[in-house]
Amino acid sequence: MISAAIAIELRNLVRSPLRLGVLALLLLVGGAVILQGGRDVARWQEAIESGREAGEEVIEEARGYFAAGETGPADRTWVNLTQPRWQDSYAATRIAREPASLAGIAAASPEAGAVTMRSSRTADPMLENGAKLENPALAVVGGLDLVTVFALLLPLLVIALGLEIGGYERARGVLPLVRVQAGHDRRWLWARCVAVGAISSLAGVLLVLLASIVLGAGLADAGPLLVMVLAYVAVWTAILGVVVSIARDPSQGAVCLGAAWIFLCVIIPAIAAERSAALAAEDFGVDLTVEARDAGAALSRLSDEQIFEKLFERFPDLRAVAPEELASGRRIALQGLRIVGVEERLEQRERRNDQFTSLMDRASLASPTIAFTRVLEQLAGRGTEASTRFAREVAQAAARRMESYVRASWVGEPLDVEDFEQLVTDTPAGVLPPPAPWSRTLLTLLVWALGMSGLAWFLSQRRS
Amino acid sequence: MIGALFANEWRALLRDGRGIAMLVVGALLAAGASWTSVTTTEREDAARAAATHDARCAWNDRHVDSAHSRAHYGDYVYRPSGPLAGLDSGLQAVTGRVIYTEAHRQNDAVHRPQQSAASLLRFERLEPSTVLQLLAPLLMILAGFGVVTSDRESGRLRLLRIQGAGSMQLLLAKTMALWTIGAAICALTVVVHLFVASNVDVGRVVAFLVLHLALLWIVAAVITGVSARVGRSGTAAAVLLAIWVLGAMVGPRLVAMSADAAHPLPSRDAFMAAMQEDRAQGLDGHDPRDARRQALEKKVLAEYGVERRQDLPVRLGGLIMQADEEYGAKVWDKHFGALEEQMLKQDAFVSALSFLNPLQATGQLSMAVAGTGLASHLDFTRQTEVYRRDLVRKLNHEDAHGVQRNAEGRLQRTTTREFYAGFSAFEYRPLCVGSLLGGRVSELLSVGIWLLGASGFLLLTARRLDRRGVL
Repeated sequence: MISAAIAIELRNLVRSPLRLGVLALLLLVGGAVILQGGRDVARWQEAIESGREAGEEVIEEARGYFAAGETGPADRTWVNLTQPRWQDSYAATRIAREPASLAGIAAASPEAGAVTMRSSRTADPMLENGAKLENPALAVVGGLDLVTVFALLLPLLVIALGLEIGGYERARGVLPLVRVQAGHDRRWLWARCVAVGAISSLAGVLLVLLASIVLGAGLADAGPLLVMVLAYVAVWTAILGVVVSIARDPSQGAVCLGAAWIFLCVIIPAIAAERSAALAAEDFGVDLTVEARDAGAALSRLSDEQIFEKLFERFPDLRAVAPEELASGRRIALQGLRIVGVEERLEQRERRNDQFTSLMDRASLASPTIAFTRVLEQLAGRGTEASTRFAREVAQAAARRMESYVRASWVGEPLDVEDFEQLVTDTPAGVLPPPAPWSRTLLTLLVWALGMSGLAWFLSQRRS
Repeated sequence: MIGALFANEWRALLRDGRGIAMLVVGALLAAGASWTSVTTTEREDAARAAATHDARCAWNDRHVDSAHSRAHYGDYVYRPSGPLAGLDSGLQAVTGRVIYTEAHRQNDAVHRPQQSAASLLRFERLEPSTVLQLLAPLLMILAGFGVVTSDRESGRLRLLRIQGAGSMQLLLAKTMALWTIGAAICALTVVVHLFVASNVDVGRVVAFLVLHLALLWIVAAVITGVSARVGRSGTAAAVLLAIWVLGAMVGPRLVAMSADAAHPLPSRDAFMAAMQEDRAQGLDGHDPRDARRQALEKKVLAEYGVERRQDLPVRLGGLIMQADEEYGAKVWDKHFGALEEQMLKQDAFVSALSFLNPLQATGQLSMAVAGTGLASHLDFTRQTEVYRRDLVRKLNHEDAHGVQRNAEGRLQRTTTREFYAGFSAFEYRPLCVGSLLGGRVSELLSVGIWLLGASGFLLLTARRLDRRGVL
């Protein structure tokens, strides 16, 4: 029965300009956005490369001074590379947020922070802008990329292909004929739905393959994407099954499918976006701006003992090199506490972001479109998790720098080229996005697909 | 006759469960969106006022430091939400909320808290503008796709025709009936806003209302026209939903992508590097060996008729910093000006294509009316920069002139706490609706043309029906 249904659906597809148009639109737009995604990743790589080159230039300059037995440039006599401060400054290599191999599928994602950052002891990863200069008027539209094509247009293909299933048979009185000839009219309707799902899946598979080739993603990266796309098509096929079970005529079927798409792809995401705006309403980043700027002044009111204790809490190894006369090391200790402040703020921010994560979790359960969009962004390494991980890595690198700066400053011995090279090699070159937790989303999508299939079965049972 | 037909259509819409359902859903969406949006905006305004207060307290409470230290200490400017942000929040989700104003550099707006739920930024917020521009047209489509086809299928149209109803009268009545569904949603949105919002700019609200009523008329006319031109209700639904998907979802995204491809912006690194290179040609206020600095020193010495800087009655550093600042301003004007020009080219590209899509044209006009569009954003950054330059200029002046020589001939600062207390916080003056709409002539024309075109489409459809006797 399935093969007969597929043959019929293929014939319907070829004969209907509307269906063909939707399929062509999906494939054309999909192809175009994949190419656009490839260009976006190239720009990302360029930004990383130019950052690296800029960092390398400064490092080479310092190496040149060491090789010539100089402590710095002749026209800036105050620069002295034997001092920890200047070593840190010249060894400020860039840490890069490396793109995931599928980064191009989510090229329209809003910029999630910087893609490269100078790794010095004063680095603050929380207020850095991204590598792209964005026109907000274009950014607010939401952009078009493969994530949008899959999330919004692929269900429309399912709808366009399955628009008349069930309603057409009932309106024309075909179902009794099917029942007489094949015994089970429900099976016939389900077979047509599955055929529509198969054709839509094929379109999805084609786009996934094209994306893998253009973006150079291996099977390990493209596999989860493929699984997600198939699961998402399964959800929409099951939703089609529900509508097929209740539609009296094609017109009612069209309205029900349109309403389902609007509800799941527009209204629930809009409610979630509104909730997100409400969560963000009172956040003007005072902790990252005014409070962060004045934190130093508050620390300077602490006693020497308090300052040192606070510093040793974070860097216990520094206790061994602390000056006996605490007052003499106070200024450096205060500088050391700066990174402690950055880490505390980062932690607070991560805690604050938990409410957004929880919102996303709830919204993902309410709409398969949100769950699917979110996991695709995670697979593309563009989600919030990637920028959070990058910020954390930068803060850790800055903390290591700060520790070595404080130690060298307190020890007070002139530093040499080996110390400099140590600083350079201790800095991580790049940070990869965390692996996407796609199994959970797969479960959500499967629950949706099974739930909708169960509902369709129940409704068709009731009807018959 | 037309009144009777209109009443008849309304009765039919109310009798049909779908019409009632759409009206109820629309009312719920309108009231809910308006209420949540206004409360969110008001919480945002309160938080912004608190943040500004915090920044001001920090400024005033700081110890009396040197004016140059204070210029480095700087000030924070927080982005206002916009006069009608409760109806249309515009670009707020994607623009930074804070600009750090300090000496030596013009900074970007940073901190976008909604970034933490970045996946949701792909979707529209459920705010009044979304309800009126995206959802109300959709509800009208769902309520009215069969407005003519179902009457034709049931033979009711023929009956009406026999009773003397003309094609144009029929189509007009049906369009008006559909439009009143949209108009009711629109009116409810505005009424809830007026009730909930504490500050109401009536002129902007009226402009917002008129604009959306015009859009909804276009939508109603297109629905009726399409429904009259196609044979079956199912086809009408499919065609109208396809038009909506193209106009509301795919079209604007494609246009944005094309605008970016046609007029690409430089990468941040390239932009910063170019600016840094030009900046390096100027004075370096912190480098005593800098040749340009020495030239300026000579000039100042000559102006005051002394030979050594130790004899100057002013602090040379302050004068040098200001000269550096003025040079920097030229560099920033050049680079930020070019960037802004490129953004405006992208914007003009989008404007030109708005003739194809009334939803997009209305979206742009709505943001302009609300004071939350690109023009307002750019104006905010410009006003912030004017504030920054004025702040730094005053501080540099104080750094140079707020001194006196003591008995040993050393310069001593005379800057007082009152001097710093005399600075007031940045206050944004929004652009007026007239000037914002003046920059959106293409969109205004687009909506006007679509209004006439949609009405003309109805007329042509009526003539076609008369000619072919399809009724």
